[in-house]
Amino acid sequence: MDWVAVEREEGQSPGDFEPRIVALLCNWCSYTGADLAGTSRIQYPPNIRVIRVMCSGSVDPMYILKAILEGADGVLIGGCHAGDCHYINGNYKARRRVAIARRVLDQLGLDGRRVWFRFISASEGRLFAETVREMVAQLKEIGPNPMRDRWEL
Amino acid sequence: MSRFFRLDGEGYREKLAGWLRALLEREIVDAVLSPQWTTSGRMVVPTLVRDPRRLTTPDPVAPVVSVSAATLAARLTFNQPQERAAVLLRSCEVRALVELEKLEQADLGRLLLVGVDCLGTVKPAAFAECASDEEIHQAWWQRGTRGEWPLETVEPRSACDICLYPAPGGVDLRLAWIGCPELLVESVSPRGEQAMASLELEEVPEPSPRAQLLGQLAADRRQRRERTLEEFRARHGQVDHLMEMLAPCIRCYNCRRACPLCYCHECVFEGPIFRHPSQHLHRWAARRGIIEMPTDTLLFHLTRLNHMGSSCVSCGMCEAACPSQLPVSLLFAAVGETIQQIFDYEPGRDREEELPLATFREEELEPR
Repeated sequence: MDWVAVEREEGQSPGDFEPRIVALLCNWCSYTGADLAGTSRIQYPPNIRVIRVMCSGSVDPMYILKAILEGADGVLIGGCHAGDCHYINGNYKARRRVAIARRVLDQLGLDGRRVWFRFISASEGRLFAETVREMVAQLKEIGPNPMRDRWEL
Repeated sequence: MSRFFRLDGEGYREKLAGWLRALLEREIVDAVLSPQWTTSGRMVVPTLVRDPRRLTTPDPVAPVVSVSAATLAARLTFNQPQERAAVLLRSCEVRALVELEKLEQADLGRLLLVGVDCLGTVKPAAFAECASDEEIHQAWWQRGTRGEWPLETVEPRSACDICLYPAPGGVDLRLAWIGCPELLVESVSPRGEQAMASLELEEVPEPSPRAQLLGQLAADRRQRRERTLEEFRARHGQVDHLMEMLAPCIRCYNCRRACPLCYCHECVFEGPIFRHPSQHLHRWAARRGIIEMPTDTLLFHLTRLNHMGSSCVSCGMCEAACPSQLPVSLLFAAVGETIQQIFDYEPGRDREEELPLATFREEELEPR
């Protein structure tokens, strides 16, 4: 589970902070949406590392937490729109799990705002790009994930 | 509508043993799950009794729990038993059993739920030190019935200290002693009524101080719980404190084994994906320069909070089982409560309420 490269760039000033985002995107909608953004040559920031999953409902919170503890600045979970899940209701379940994960992180000083859940369909390349832009902007405001420098995990 | 019954017999022991024996002899149930004193008279352990003559030293009042009786009661319902069992449970155990039923790991159909008033318990090791049978009961009937913690030399477990439910709800019968002059049986459900019907016990009015005393206790406990959890949140709401708190974890998984609600038969943390090849450990250590060993302790606790926080009944068995004495029960109480608030859910409150993680609403939790 060596997901997030956490080597630090020497001499980086806070203004240069480039957040690293792990994205877990559902095969049927959000991943295809990201693909569409690419094939349509829609520009979005290169801060995102995409992992394709079969359904947002298959994302155990453990994977979200692992990414955060390993130093990822943000985690984006993308699923199908309401009613569109190819496994009937995985996206709704994912929404609840993410709400819990955010609450746990908030309670323990790890900032739940680093975890985003979005409905993005296969035809929404533009929305995908926009989401990444927004997320990068917000993470720049929040700043680097303090877990990056911690080893007592 | 609840009704109170006086039990036959002289002292507490005779009344209770006599009543449980009658349940078996009259074939109201086939078995009784009750804590009993061991032969040495130094410890109280859960027992499953089918022969009424072996119900010699039942004692659900003795303030010790070695394993959550919710787990044991659930096991008694595994694989569609024909036998009916009366199970004696403290409030936290009733609530855990209700959650297990929702997880389809218990079937309450053939169980007679007998709740027991409880002011708190101590760990088995502390209990073995603290007292003899007689001393405990003397303290209990002098101070415990007035709602005061009866033992002078030992404090209740931290989870018990902030427990909101001295008298368990959602049961068929209740063994009542808080605010009572003697041990009484209260029937609170149709199934409980039915169980008591053939025993022809003397019905008595509800002892006058009981309702008020229980209300007072609940109010005091709520205040203490809020204060304790608030302090805990203020301290551990910062990453530094969280990591400091969990640093001594040796990843023994005792907390998950002791937890009545950690429902996976095989925990992901004990499976192959956490049996890291040495190359991985070296790579991680090389990347940061240093990693803590054993790895994944923080991930384990945070994952457990995500999986179980919505159903945590605050029984504190996790903390009692922890060899490093980490305050995990407070961690789960503090964070679990805020998770439950998202869904307006209270574990064990209502058998009809759906588990937050097993259901969803079309429209909720927006904006994401």
